[in-house]
Amino acid sequence: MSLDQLLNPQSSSNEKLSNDEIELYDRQIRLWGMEAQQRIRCTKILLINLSGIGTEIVKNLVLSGINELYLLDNNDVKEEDLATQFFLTEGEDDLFRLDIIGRKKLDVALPQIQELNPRVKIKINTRKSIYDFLDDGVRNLDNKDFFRQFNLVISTQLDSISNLKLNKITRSLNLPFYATSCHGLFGYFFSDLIMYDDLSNADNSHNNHKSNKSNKSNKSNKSNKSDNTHNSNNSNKLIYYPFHSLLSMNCNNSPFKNLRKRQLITKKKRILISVFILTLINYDFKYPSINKNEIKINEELFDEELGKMFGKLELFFEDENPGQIQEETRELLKVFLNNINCEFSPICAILGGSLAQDIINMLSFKNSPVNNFLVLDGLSSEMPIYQIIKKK
Amino acid sequence: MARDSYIQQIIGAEKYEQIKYAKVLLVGAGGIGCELLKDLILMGFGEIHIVDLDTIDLSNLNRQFLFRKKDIKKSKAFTAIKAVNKFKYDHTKLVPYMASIMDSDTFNLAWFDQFHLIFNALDNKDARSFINRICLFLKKPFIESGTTGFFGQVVPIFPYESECYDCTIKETPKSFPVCTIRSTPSQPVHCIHWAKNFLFAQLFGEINVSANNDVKTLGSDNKEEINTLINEQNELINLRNSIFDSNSSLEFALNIIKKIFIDDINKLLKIDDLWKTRKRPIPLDISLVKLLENDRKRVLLKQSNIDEILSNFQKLWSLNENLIVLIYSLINLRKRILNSNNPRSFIIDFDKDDEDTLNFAASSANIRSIIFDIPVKSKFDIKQIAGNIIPAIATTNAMMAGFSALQSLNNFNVLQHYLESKIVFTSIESKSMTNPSQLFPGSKTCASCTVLRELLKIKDIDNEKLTLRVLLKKILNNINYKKHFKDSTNEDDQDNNKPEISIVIGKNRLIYDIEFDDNLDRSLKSLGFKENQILTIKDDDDIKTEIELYILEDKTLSNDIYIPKIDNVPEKPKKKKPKVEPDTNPNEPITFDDEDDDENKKQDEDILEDTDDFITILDDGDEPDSSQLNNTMLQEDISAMNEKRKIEDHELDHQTKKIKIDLSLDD
Ligand SMILES: [Zn+2]
Repeated sequence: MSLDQLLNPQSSSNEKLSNDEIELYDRQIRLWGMEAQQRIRCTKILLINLSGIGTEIVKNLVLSGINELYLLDNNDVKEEDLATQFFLTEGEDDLFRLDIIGRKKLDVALPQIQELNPRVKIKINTRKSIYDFLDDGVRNLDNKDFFRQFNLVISTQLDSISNLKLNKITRSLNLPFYATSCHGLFGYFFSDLIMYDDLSNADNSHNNHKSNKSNKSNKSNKSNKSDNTHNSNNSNKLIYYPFHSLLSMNCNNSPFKNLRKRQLITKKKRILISVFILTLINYDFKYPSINKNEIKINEELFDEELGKMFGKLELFFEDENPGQIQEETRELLKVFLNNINCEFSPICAILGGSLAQDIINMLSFKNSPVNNFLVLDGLSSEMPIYQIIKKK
Repeated sequence: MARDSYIQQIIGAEKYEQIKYAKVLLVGAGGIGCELLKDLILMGFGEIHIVDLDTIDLSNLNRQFLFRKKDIKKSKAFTAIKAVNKFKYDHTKLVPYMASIMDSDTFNLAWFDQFHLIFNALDNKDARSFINRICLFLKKPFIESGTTGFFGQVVPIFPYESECYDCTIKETPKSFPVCTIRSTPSQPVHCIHWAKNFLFAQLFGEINVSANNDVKTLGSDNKEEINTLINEQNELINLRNSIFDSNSSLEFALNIIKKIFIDDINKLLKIDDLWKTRKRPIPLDISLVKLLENDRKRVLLKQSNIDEILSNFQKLWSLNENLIVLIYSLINLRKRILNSNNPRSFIIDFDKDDEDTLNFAASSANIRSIIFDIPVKSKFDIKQIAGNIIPAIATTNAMMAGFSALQSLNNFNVLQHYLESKIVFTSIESKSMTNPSQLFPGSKTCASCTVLRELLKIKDIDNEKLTLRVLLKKILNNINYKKHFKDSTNEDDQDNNKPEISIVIGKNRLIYDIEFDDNLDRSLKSLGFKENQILTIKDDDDIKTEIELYILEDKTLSNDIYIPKIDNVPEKPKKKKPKVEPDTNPNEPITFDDEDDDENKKQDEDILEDTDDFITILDDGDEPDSSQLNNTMLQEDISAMNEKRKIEDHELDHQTKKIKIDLSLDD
């Protein structure tokens, strides 16, 4: 079943929930309703790379009661994985943990994941790397069949080039796609739901939410020319833009272009973190690492890239020339660079929680899903959401 | 790389050492507790004590990811510890307790004092307030957290330096006038309330004849109505006896149905005044009762028929189906009483997870709804209202636990200076997932953090020579009220400078004031002094701040009694708006009386009236202890949070003197 069918409110092909399921999922059904729970139960998800955030996403989705989770990761357990990936364990005490180093991650994690919720089908693939799948999928249309069996694809800690390829495939199959990474105290998720019929506005159960949102969309319709919503008035069709838009930013599609000077100053730090993350995604695209999921940073090149990004976004602070990096900015940049490629459990928990919730929001129509780029700044606990559109 | 190389890189090796040796307390192993325990363990905290009285329930398993089906009925704290043992660091020490955190015999002040930081992952206000007070005594930081459905918040609290848990008024559950419940319901929730708190309690709960029988509590001035309601209640007591007198369970059940849904309704109908502006109820059709009475072959009351109805708990049951469920539950409940060891004094408490009691409440509420032309509800929905169930999901808990763990780093000045910790709310705006704010200073009218709190150490409480006189002398020596009284009396006269104080032990037991000195030569022990008691000292002019002394026994003391020196007791903060009774003399002494706690109540009301700052700490999804909450909680929480946010925005603007601009980041 395609996600469109799955989300169709008229779709009644879903089998009713059993009383056992209703008892188990009681506290969430009371929040998002039986129908949403039925849709969740029909959803098949592909998750690429277990990782720290991946671990959190897996936990949340398996608990929520999805139909099937297919995990793709052919990496071996490394000691630093144990900092966040709590499924990588066997036995009751520490001695056993040494034994798992070097084994296939998913082989170790599978029993722990399955135990969380025996109702969910968990499948693992440790034979092929994601890169093989991507190369096949891009080269050979038939290999898309592998992706066709899912309703949704998530990548975690994946490099920019692979995300780009993956998003091409998901778009061609009309599959929603999420990409997320944690870098120490910082992180992001990107979402591409292609075109999403947002029914959450029609729901009256969250009056505050609704009125709040409709105010907002009215405002944004007035203040910007289009792009935000498909049609003007009451349509709730949300248009999403592909991963590629993160790589082709300029002052025209800058998410910061409408910020006033004062906002730039009061929100400077979180804007800077957002710019650093966007720069990192671009840097990773331009200078792909040999080890594909570990970005190696050359600080000079990163600086250069950042300068370009400031310029491209026409973003500068305190009357200085674009591209010139201030002392304060440099300090923050130092912190940021120091965090790249680190996994940190609270950040993984927050990002993994918000990403899994976003998927459930998409399936339940209780809240509007994020459109389309969310940043987590662990220093300030801010989680700004930007819409990054395609270059015109 | 080593397992902890990431965190070392992120926060620095030196700070990581502090985390490695930090000893923390986690109160609650539920929704947020499980998540937080995982985060703290992965961050490498040195020692974590976890306290939870609860056992695991099936409905926990959708989010409390450390628990499995096979763990149901086991201790949450112990099971959680066992589960995380699999992935903890070697250096981390874990200590579980299955106990109430408010049990001061198990957990005294000294025990709390061993921790560097306390995490609250609780589901009720009482325990939260309790921890708040403990932390005020110890000046110990703690991080409060809570979620309801999609919403959540994390509030780091640094006692006396930032807003405490009690600084903001917590929502009081809605209550209904008794006459709305008893004679003129208009919403499903009125009928559910009636079924659970009145009818069920009268038939099976503790016998309490005097309750609700005076005019004041009935909330009606219609004499006729009051008499009817009082008679009704007395008749119910007879009906309760019919549990034992009836020939059969069916007879018992039908008698109750006839009385409640026909006779009592007919009596209400006789009070014309009630129905001038309201729709008249229609009593149950007697033929339906007859039908059931004649159901000798048990066609309607066949077990398979009953099972069929009960399995459709999301459906709206028909009148007939409700009657069948009610009879079935009455038969079962009667059986349980008759089969008990001491039937005459056996009582049954309403419990949403006790099928008989829930079936009773659901069906009788619905029948009453039909009589009063109110929409009926499914058993599934009634369970939520009657059982105060708050929706709870894994994702919100994971996020809030993540923020709690993240903010805890600030306690060690890792991300920021600790006073730059952030309060984090989930946001309902489309431009941001969270709504962090800076800490607020404590409220000047907060009854908790405007009190001075110190320790009163006693070498040997059993020492008979330690009299109240000895203690009083020590108090007057060490605690200096001078400044205020200097102006009003002769400076040189030391004795006149001594303020008139009153001393209260425990909640409200007055042991001394200027006109009540009978106890002066009694020993402290005989006056009820013991460890973990709190002594409250007030000046009789009610100008100076109250002082609370926490009693501890300390055998190592060199003196018999230790009270810290307080050089100048500050004045009590003035209340903002003395709206109620503006003429009242502020200097009027407050008297304490065992039997009368009206004074305390009035103070609470004042605070409620005076405060426009408003916050709700939410629950983590388990049912709160308080039995008065209802299903409007969620909606109210959301609006309360919006309200709070508005205030925050306002205050922030005020503080930073910046005009609020609508950010349009996603354009
Ligand atoms: Zn306070």
